Amino acid sequence: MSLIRWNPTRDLATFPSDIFNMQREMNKMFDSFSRGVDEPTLLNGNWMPAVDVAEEDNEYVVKIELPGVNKDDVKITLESNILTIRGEKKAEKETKEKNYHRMERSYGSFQRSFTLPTTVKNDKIDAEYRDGILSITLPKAEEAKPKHIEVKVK
Amino acid sequence: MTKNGQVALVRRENDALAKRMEPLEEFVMPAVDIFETAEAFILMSDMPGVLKKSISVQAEAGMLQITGTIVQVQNENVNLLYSEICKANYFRKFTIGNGIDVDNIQAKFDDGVLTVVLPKNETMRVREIPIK
Repeated sequence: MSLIRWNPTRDLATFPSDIFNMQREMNKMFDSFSRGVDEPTLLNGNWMPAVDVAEEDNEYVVKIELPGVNKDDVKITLESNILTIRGEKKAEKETKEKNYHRMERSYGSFQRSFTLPTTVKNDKIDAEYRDGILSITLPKAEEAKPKHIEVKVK
Repeated sequence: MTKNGQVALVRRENDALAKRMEPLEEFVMPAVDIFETAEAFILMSDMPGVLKKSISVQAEAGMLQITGTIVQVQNENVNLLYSEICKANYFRKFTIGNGIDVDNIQAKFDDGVLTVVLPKNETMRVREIPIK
């Protein structure tokens, strides 16, 4: 008496898109070798939330996908320039005994760490959780901001 | 054929190839949990980064379709140093049987998780028959 049947044609419909996702994943993997971001290992936690790191003129912004995570279950720490985000996504308690048809979402503990450039104002770091995304704003120190120097031509 | 002609031909073939390789519409399938209670089927889907108003849940002709549009914050001064978060929109389709009370499907969105409650109709419900 199962309601949602597996539909093989649905997976086929997403096939071209999957190929491109795979290509992107591969590129990401190769990119990560040459970059300074700490690669997560499975030892760090049960699942790895996806992360974006962006640089703006005055700040760095780290975004982490944490859908369904209670913000009280997330801890952000900074220790000798290493920013660590760790926490736990708890399974809904009232649904534990129920009959599952599909279980694709990730649960359990997670942890990700990043080495920050020394030019971040450590005491001005700000974090916000909205619509399942945790955004951490790391303002740059004055010396790291882009400066315009006018040179007079005589 | 002149050299210019050959270059033009190669370029045209390259363009055609590139067009064929382009996916028609890029989207991601959000991860879902589906479970069943005595009264309903409950679908929970991770859709981080979408606004509540950009989500659509549609049920028709035995299909349930969920879509969510990602908000693109475009800022020219942003340099993405590291990117794992997928920027494509969410899309997923499910087949639903006859046992669903389609008129009373309810959906909510909290903390990046879409929850859709699909109540069972009379034919689907588990009925206990008392023994006299």
